[in-house]
Amino acid sequence: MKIINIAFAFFCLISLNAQQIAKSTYGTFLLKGATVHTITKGDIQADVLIQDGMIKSVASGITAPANAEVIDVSGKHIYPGMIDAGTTLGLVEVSSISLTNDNNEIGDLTPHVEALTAINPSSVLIPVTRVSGVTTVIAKPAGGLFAGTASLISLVGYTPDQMYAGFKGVVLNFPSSGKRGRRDRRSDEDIKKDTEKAIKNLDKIWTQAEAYAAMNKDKSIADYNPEMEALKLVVNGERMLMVEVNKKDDILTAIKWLKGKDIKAVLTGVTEGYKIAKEIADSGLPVITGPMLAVPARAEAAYDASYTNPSIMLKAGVKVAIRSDDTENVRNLPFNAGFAAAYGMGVEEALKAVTIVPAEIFGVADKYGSIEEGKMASLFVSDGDPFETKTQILNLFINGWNVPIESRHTLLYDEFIERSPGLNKK
Amino acid sequence: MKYKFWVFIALMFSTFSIGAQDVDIKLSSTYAIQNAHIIQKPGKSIEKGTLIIKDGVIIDVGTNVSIPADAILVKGDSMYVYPGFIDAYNNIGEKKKEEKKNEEKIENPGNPPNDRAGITPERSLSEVFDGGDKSIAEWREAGFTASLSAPSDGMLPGKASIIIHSGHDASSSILKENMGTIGTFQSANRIYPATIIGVMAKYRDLFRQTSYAMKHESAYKANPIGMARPAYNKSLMALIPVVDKSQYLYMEAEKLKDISHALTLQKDLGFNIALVNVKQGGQYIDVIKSQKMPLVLSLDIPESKDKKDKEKDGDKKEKGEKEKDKKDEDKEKKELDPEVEAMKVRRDKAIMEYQSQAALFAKNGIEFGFSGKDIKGKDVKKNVKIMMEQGITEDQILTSLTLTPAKMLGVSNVLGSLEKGKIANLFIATAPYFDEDSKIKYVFVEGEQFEYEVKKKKAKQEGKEGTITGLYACTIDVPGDQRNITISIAKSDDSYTLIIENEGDEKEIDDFTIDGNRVSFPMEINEDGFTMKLKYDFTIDAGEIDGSVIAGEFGSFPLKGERTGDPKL
Amino acid sequence: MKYIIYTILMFCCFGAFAQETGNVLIKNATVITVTKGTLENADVLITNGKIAKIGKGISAGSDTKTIDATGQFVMPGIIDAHSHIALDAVNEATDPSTAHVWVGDALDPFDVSIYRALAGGVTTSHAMHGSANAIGGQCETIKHRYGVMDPNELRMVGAPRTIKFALGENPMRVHGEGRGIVPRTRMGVEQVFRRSFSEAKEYMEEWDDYNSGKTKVPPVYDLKKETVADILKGDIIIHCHSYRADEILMLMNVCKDFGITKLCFQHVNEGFKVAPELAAFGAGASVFADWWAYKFEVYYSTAFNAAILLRNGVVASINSDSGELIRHLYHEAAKTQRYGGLTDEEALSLITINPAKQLGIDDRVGSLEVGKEGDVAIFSKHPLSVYAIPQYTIVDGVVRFDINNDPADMRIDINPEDEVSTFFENTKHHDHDNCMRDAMELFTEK
Repeated sequence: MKIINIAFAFFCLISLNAQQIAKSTYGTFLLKGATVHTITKGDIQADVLIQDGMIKSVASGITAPANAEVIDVSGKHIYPGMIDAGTTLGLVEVSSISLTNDNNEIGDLTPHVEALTAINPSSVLIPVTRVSGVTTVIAKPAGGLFAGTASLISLVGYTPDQMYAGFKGVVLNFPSSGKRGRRDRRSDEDIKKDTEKAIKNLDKIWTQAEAYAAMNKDKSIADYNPEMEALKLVVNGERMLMVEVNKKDDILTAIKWLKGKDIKAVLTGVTEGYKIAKEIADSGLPVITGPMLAVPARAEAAYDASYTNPSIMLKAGVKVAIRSDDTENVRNLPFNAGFAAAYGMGVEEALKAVTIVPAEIFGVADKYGSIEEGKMASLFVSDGDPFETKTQILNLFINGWNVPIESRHTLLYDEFIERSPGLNKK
Repeated sequence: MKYKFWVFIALMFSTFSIGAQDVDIKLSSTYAIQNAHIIQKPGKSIEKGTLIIKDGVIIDVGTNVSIPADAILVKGDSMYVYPGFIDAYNNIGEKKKEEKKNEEKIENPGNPPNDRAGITPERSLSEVFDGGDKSIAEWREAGFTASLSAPSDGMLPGKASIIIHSGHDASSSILKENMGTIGTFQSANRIYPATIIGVMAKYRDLFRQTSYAMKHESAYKANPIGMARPAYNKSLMALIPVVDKSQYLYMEAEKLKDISHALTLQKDLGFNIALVNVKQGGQYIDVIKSQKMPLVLSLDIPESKDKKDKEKDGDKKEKGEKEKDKKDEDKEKKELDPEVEAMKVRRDKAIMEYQSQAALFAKNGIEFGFSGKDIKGKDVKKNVKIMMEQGITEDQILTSLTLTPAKMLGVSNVLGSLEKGKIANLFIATAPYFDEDSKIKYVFVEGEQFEYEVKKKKAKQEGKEGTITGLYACTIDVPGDQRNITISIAKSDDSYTLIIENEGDEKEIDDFTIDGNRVSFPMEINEDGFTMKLKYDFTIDAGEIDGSVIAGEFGSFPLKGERTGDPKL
Repeated sequence: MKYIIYTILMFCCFGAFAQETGNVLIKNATVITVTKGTLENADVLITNGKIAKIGKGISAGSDTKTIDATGQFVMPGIIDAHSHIALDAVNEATDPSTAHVWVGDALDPFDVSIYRALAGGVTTSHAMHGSANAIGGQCETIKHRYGVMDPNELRMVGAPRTIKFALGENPMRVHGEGRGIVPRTRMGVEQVFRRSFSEAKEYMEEWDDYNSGKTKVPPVYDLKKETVADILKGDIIIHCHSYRADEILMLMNVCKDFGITKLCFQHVNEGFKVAPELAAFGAGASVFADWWAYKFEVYYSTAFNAAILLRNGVVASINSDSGELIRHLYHEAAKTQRYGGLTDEEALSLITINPAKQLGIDDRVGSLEVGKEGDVAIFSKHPLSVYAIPQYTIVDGVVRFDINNDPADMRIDINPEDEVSTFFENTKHHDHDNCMRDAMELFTEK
């Protein structure tokens, strides 16, 4: 089913016009002559052969197979598609219009609600994102204690199943002892009480989940209980727990809470990780942090606290992935990584933080995160460093699909750079 | 019995009160305070002097004074007589406001009626004055015998008057009416002016409208023929004395930015400005000095919370809990977060700025009065002593509480010092005012004597370790008031009996929870169709009760008490 | 005593006195003047707060601080044509027209956002009233003299007066939906302007009659009408929050009818659709680099907006409208190279000389030219590179940000009543409703 008539695809390419996105094509592609930034195996001058959705070969002087479309990318650069380890893409279309927001279900205990169910493959935001080289994202639910189940998706396809990229995790918003905003008038004392209560509640739920998991080890004997069924997967270590936690004290509490629980977990957010980088490293927990382009969370924090946070954690020995935590501007993931790179992380490590590191955290490093034979062909061609602001993305492949570099934004540009009619209607 | 108890509880949370009626038989209006240490004014005192009061006036003061035959003798041996303090800006005697209910909805929030927008410069203190208001007695007890008092609320709440704290009606309390107009930066609730930018614009509009109204008025007076009649606008009329500079605008300007706003308006609109209730004015010393602005500093100063905690710890230690405390301390030390400590150091520095404001002004030779607007009378001494730690002298404090405000308010001929011919406003303390143990025993307001019980420190009675039983004398802090009750907790076998008592009325509580040293119980009051649910919640630790009474939406009120003996059985 | 010492120390740290100016010599840098090309290995001398010399081999006396900027890049201090930092109040949302209020009355010199903006090379910003009302309050152009204690010392004295207008969803939401009064539609918004301008015209005539002696009774003084009259007289530049093409055209038509020419659109996400009309009117356009889709009126947006506007002859700028974006406007400007391929000089003009033009201060700031004010930002790399790190930011010749002397805690005024330290969740997310601060409370019933 994945094979599409090349001629038909070509026809579609010709017939494109403004406000209408050209179709993605599938087939065999040979990208010739670029510098390949493999991430895992250094930067090499090589050709890349894409076939059956996979990277068939990375070598110099590959002979094009008979049916291959050869694309001359000499002097250009090939990077693996970037992975944004935390977004709301596909779940939220226009954030101020609540009925277009599918990320926040009612209730504190909704681990069973699935982001993948509500992903809108036709979201206008998706093409805008992928043309920046971000090919794979976590779409995550928010709100409540156990917010729901996040999914890793590839930004190509017309059904959630086509997009699903092989990882799911349950989001836990760890009880926060921070203020919710300027209008949060609670005193430190009140907040402390609220937090203690919330952690007690979390412990209670967890004890129940453990009991449920033990009781229903082989098959379900209990009554219909979708919440516990979802948590059972976490308790059994089959599904990752994505623990959103940001304030220093809360991070420490979360580490303590996770200690001794034999589960897969990742800390997300981790705004103040820089204050306790060593403790996080000692815990062995990986971290997904971001955005860097954020105001520091305390008035007295250094102006560059968000910029330097990932590098400080990395240097302490933490496995760090970077996310944008955005919706319509997930395209700024490379810029977040660029700031992290500038403020101590270095370009090489920052690149890993948006490619192979998240792939490893999510257990999909066999498919994504680097340019290696046998991996999925999610990669892009650019005229330079993808973090550098002025760099242009020239070609884009996601799971082997040759995706047009088009979005609402480019189409509007094409239409309006020289408007016709212009000022005077003839 | 029970009915009375309900009434008490209801009263406790209501906005009015009834005091016990004193039996008051007056023998004479002449007093002779004998053989006392008389501080006539800061820096001038008389050892073993005598002061004679007749019909509210000091008729003689000195060492060699003859005592009139009809004089009531006040033995002043080893006591100290001070001129009554003057609060240079407060709302003492202002009638407690009734809760605003069912106010009409404002049709046009961008242009609401003046009175709803907080613009009532026409309001005199006498319109809102209540001689029986508790604030008068409270401040009198603290040695304050007169004040500049103003209506409160809103950006232009009204006009201030000088009052003396006799507690009588307006006609005898008000010394000088409509001394000046008060201005604040308070915004209105959801109507214009709803923000500081609205308030500033409204000032400009009102002042400029007033000056044009004055022009119109005078043109009309000169020749009304064929001219539209000036509209009557009471707010604008009331602002005329400010606009024509015959009266000060007393601007409430607590923080640095408030002062900046006040000075900006003064520059734009050119009125005579006085700055009152200033808390953070150090930055503007030069302007205040060069323009000779009347200045009233706030007596409300922040205290370092950590220092307070330490003092509390110190108290505990006295009670022989040293060992337990030491453990806590060690534990605390381990948990000290250097970042948090650094923040505390910065905050303490900021606090010190507030505490040292008065010293800074004094050192720069700027005269000022004091305002007790945001504190209780009983906290004055504690706060001025903190100011003194920052370098202001006793005499400078006394001057700011007596001579300077008298001068500033133009009443130094009758108030501010103990001199022949002045109004007999004074207080008598058991020791020099600034001594820790000094207590005020008498206050005279315009020759009228008020006597206060000087309590000796009672030794605290602690119950047995770990028990909570006992008879506790408690106070509940209700805004502007303190209520005294007694709580008795008795235990026989395994069951507790809990009794609350007030002025002889007892009520046994049936539905209570005791968890270790924590006691809580609900209480419901029905009074004239008014239902209120209270919740008592407190802990008993080493013979001390600490907790609160929660009164639904009215908030929570601190409850404190100490063990005075064995429980009632 | 300790207080005094502390105060003195603080003053030394920030070098802050009223309208303080300084002398600085920057050596051996790549000097990007924006208006007059880029010079390699050049020096910039600032004397008494003004740029005195630009060239090679400049020397200065010992009273001049010398910065060795070898390998670094010097550019004019960045200007943000739309921000709400350093303000205690943003919206007086009680009426569809509040021309009489002025955010210059609510300046907050203690807002640490000012320092964070300095740490991004921003020296001047346009502190604006919010967008709750069709005619909002007057705005204030401020200089980032962080460290001053008196709010007045933030003002850029002499900068032209400006006022905030707002079209579309925000005024419709606050007044129409929130209160049930006009405007609930974009049709109604137009009428707010037409009515205000007409009433102000009548008001001016009444005063003319009174001043010429034709009438004897002075009209009732009305600060709101006074202000709108000043717009009609050309004394105030309109800065209008807007998104959709139709409403942009509407306001241009209204202005034409009342003879108003000083007009700059803010956000103007659909400005690209009517770029030829904007250019013909001579209206400015101050846009986001890439914000879109957070509400319906910005759903049909493009990050190529600035490029399309500039290429069509509109004086365009990139603004922040955010305490976050203001920290890296140099990066926001660089996005016009990804989205539209602007040259370095064009991209930098969007955050320097162009916003200066929109605020009417281009004769004083916005480029490195002799005689202009000594507002300069020094970067480790070319400021349009994502890897550029601001090193120094200088305002009036006074170093206000120095990366080598940069304590973490830069708060000035600490409220003793506040908790010792407060962590805010959700600072990670851009607050798209900055423009609506103080307004939400007013029309959301508790």
